Amino acid sequence: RMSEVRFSKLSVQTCVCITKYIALLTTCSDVMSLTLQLDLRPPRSKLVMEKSNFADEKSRHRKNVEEHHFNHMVEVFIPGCAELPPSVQTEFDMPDDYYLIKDVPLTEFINKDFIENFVKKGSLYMLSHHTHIDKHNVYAVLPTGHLILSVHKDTYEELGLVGQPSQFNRKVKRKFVVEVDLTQDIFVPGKKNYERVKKGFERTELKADFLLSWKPEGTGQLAGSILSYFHGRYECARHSQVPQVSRHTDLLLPVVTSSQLGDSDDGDWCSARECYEWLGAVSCGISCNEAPEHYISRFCCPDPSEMTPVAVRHSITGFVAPGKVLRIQDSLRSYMTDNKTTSPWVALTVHGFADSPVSWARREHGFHHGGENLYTFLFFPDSTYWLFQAVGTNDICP
Amino acid sequence: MKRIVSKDDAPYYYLKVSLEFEDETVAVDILTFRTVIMKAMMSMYGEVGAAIQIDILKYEGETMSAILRVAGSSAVKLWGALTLLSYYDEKPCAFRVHQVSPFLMALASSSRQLLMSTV
Repeated sequence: RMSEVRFSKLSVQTCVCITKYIALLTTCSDVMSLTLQLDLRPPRSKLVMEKSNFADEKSRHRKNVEEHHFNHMVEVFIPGCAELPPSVQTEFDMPDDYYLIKDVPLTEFINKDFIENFVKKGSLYMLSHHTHIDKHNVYAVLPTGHLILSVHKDTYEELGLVGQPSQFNRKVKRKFVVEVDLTQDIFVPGKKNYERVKKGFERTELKADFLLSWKPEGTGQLAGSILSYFHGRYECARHSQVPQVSRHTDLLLPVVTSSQLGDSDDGDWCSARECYEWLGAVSCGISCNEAPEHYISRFCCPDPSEMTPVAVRHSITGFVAPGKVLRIQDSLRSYMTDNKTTSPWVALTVHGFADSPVSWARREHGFHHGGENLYTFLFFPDSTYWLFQAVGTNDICP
Repeated sequence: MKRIVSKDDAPYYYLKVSLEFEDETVAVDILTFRTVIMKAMMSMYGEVGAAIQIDILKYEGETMSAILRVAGSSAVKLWGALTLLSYYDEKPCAFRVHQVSPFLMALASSSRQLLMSTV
């Protein structure tokens, strides 16, 4: 006697139960087999490739940088130069320290002095440290004055504040996002909204280590004065961005035309996607001049390519504010529009934090199998540029 | 101004992996590393699986860590095969998959791992 039963769209738990059941049943003399058909599609991701001109009034080159609040690594790759141009080097050399403050309770953020002196008077960037967005509660303060909390269901219910369920994995509502606007006029002690938030924070006693960077408005105050606010009550540590330099000689570069993003019919230029993969290889320190034996790898510089005698790659890693990226962008632009430039293009890449609750502006960001939210600019001498924005599975298209 | 949005059709997937042997004195060169991966694919998916094109873009002999490139359609197969490998040449070993991304640029930095060690 033979019978066949088919199930489809099973959850992992159901598969495990069925497997256990069949293992119990095969103690008798019947023959049983269980065939699993796996969904082998790769996880989803999005890559936006944009081509524009600095003179275009709709150009989003500034907005893109300003709205990407939390930056982990900034790198510049300049072919045709053995050293960074002086204007770019000064931007990299300017000290830009950030602080790590341990065990800060969330009630500190609703303190009136804190809001008046720091949140409203400059750009404050704070991100909870060592918290994974897919496992733990994550908190962030944006320079717009919003406090973003990405919390578990239990914490959300205990907090008692109004929020939205996470946009990713909607069927199982495990995480909720709460936004508190600290700069609102009605957000003052005594008002209903404020007291509710305060009670929620006091009841749940939420706290975390925070990475902090504050850029005061105007020149009235020093960026380090925020440290005196936390000093003495919490453990503070100051960190500087970690630089890294690598130089190349006799490097093959892909040939690209600033006006064409897609493939070339005659093989006259490389597509934007191929160029992006090659740039990624340079950032990872992969040498791709000569193709190694086929058994190991078939990756090499995309065709057509040109040889450059020198190239330099400079990066800083840490907690970088968008203001620094904007200044680096401006210095690279002025270098490219200078007549003496020997580079066919320059690349500026910025990597975001994998565990940030937001990617650009207040768009929610998550970590599915990777938390990538990064962008790359490619500046050409004729004031045109390419912009690549890459995000992962749990992300909204930028 | 032109804008192309490419969704869900990444041509390649990139994995940052490292191989650990229970016996810490064992070290393998790049050819043996490639053979280990091939054996892992063979044991899980047979001859067809072993023939899937996998590129080792970067290999470090001391740490036995590498950056692999595989076609998007085979990414899940490779990841599964590497995870389930437990022996090579009768020596217990395991693959640790540190980072996976459809963008090679994303593997240049990892805010999760880097911050753990420096701060």
